[in-house]
Amino acid sequence: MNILALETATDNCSVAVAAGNDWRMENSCEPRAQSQVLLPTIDRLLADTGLSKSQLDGVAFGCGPGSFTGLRVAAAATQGIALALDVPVVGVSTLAAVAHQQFRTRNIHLCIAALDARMSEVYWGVYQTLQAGSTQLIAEEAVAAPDTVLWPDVIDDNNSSDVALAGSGSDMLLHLTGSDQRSVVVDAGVLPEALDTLALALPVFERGEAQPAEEARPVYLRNKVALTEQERAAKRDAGTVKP
Amino acid sequence: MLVIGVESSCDETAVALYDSEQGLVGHLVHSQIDLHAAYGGVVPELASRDHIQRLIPLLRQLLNDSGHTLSQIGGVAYTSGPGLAGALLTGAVYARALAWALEVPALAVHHMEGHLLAPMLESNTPQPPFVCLLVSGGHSQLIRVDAIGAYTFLGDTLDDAAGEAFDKTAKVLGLPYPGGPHLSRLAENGDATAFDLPRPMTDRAGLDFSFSGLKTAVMTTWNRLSQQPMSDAELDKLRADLAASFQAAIVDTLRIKCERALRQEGLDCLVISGGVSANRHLRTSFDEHFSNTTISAGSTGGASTVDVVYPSLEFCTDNAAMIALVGSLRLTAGEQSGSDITVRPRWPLSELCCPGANA
Repeated sequence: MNILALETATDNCSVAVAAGNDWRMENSCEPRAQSQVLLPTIDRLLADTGLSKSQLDGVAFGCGPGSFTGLRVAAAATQGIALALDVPVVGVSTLAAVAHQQFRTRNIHLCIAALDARMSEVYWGVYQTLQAGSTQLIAEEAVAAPDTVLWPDVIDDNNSSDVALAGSGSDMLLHLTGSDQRSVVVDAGVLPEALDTLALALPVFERGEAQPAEEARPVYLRNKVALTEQERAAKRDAGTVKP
Repeated sequence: MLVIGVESSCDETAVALYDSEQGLVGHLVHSQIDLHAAYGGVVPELASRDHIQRLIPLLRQLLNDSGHTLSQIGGVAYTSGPGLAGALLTGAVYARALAWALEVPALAVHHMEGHLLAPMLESNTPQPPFVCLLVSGGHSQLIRVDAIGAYTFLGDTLDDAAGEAFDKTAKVLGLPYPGGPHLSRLAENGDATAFDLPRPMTDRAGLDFSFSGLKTAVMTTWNRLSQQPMSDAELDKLRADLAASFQAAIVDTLRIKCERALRQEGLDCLVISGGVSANRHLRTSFDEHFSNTTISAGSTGGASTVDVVYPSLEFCTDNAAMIALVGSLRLTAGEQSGSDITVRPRWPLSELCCPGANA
């Protein structure tokens, strides 16, 4: 299959193209420039692989969590491209992509993926990758205050040696290291990459479970982004917010 | 050329199809008013989240309704500014990627040029040169139009836009969101002469506006009088009278500045566009006044009455028909925007050029 994959949940604007077995990726990490570099990057990768747009069979995108704006860049581009080419889409968790990357680059099967969610919170989830292209969520994806995140018991049930703590939110979860007999490998500098988005989306495309273009939507995890007038009034009455 | 227009600069998601030969094919607008009502104003993040869910369903419906397919599309135009950054980016990335994948040219459109040229969507097309008053929730600008793309700024608001003043004043009076239209309806039952509110900046030279003082004047009056003991009916009357007096003050101010601009420029055609141009009192007041006003215009120096042109109501508020129109004008002149997508939340209209100048 020929698949285009986009992952822009962080500052990394990552694009990958699979032309059959020829997989290529390009990353560019320039803050707030994703929308400028995205389409030119796709053009280069298609040229490199010799694919034309019409030969694409689907578009995979990193659906989050991550930067709200970044998520919409990938989702909006995916929508436009998939609609025009009349191909289906697959959304891949950005946290799962981080976990798959730990498997792909370091052969670590268990990963606590964590991304800085700002506002003193972290997006996190626990994943197991037993083989390429198959990363399973084994504890719920969530947005949480770091000090409420406890060592996931589910990891102790698994028979594996190393655990990776990976992603920009790793520094917020360092209390998870050292508390356990397991060796925790911290990789705070890692950025999600579209090669993993591609790897995780491909089986979904192959199973025929991809979705129509309009289903390319971000998964924000943080769903409360503003207070209604009623809630503001209630907070004022409680003395927690100054008028 | 059949052009898709996409608009997502604030709290309306809109798509349109415009044929460069035949004119507007169709357009659809999804308003987010209900979404933001509980918050008392537009929440930018929620606006962006809604846009991305509406863009494809709206376009599919429009294509379906008009019996067209994407294979017939010759270009895509999208609003790239001014407006809310996240909202703009959502529509811009979608639309630009759509054009890229269809392998047709794309054009980044200035939202206010859309408003400015909206009368061209109908038969009453004004011929430049003319003066345009752009009045909406975000803008109160007087512009001289010498040709499409040749815009000279004559005046701007120093603080609140006219529509913003409507909304904020409505809030002062305890009206629900979005306050502007509520205030206008209330004003119909009020006495516009009940309160002598200022006509800001009309007593001095120049074409700039300032509306925040007017809002404060209403607030002061309301706070003082509404505290006094009175029946519900009296309170309702006070509210309606203040609304009517406020609306009259805004409309008078806009009209005085428009006339001043026409005389200064020696022009006898006035185009009024943007959300506030839907205001019924504004239209009545302008029509009555300018049908009895003569201006010495043109090289002949002969005096003539002023032509006042408004877009029809559906094209006053944000829509994609005006974006597709501008796109069509500029795309057919050979202009196009690259695949490096940028949005411009602030973008002076005066930076635009005539269609094709940058082709």
